[in-house]
Amino acid sequence: MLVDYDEGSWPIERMPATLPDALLRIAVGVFLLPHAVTKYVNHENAVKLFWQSYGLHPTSVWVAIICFVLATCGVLIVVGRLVVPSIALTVVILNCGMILSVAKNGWLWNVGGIEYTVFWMIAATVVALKALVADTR
Amino acid sequence: MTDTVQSRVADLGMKANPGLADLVFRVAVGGMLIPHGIGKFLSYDKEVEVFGQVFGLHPAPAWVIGAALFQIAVGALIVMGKFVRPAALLLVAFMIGTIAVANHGAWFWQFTGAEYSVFWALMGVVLVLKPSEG
Repeated sequence: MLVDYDEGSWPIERMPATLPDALLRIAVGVFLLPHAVTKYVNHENAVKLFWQSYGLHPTSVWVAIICFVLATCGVLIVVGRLVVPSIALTVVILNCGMILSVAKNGWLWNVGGIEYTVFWMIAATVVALKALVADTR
Repeated sequence: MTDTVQSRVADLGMKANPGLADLVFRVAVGGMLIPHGIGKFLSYDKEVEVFGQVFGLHPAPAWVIGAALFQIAVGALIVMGKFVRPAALLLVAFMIGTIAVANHGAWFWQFTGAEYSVFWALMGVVLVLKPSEG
């Protein structure tokens, strides 16, 4: 079994255990982690490059919060725990980031547009929907 | 309480149609390709310059037209649910080629790194592995 859960766990944690669905869930979670790591490792640059331009103050606190949320949600999605709330929280953050930053760049990712963010959110929503369906069968 | 909330969310169509998530996923994976193909025709001169001078692919016009037609055709097949597995395999191969030629060793998508291409390739692998896809 690719995803294990015990009977006493919160029902929302039950995830479909097929290989493609597990791969999709793990990919959605794993791809958050480098963004959290780079915000931690390059904290000064993250503050300087991104958050000051968004007008969020105090910027270092915002970077720390986003970094923590991305890392925590990424790990939870990968291990199949609290998947739906984690995805919901991350989608809210990415939506805010998109509105604040890259939406002005248009659609295509290679010119800084919202394409990848939208694609990730669709994939994450699919993972969440599958979790909800699996729980209500 | 939690069960009630989940049941209500599922009743919004998902319980009646559990394949909806797979449909949304497939349409997204294929549909995202099509604007790239169309964009190559709309910005043809610029694309030829990038393919030739930045990617080093010659003859650049042939590569641009070939890539554009490939993206439109493969994207349309995946969206329509026809030959999904072979089309998804071709998508994976295309993304591997893109990573090799265009991403220049960077990772993050904001710096035109490989992140998005790798993610897209993995989504293609998911489609290939799905038993419901033909």
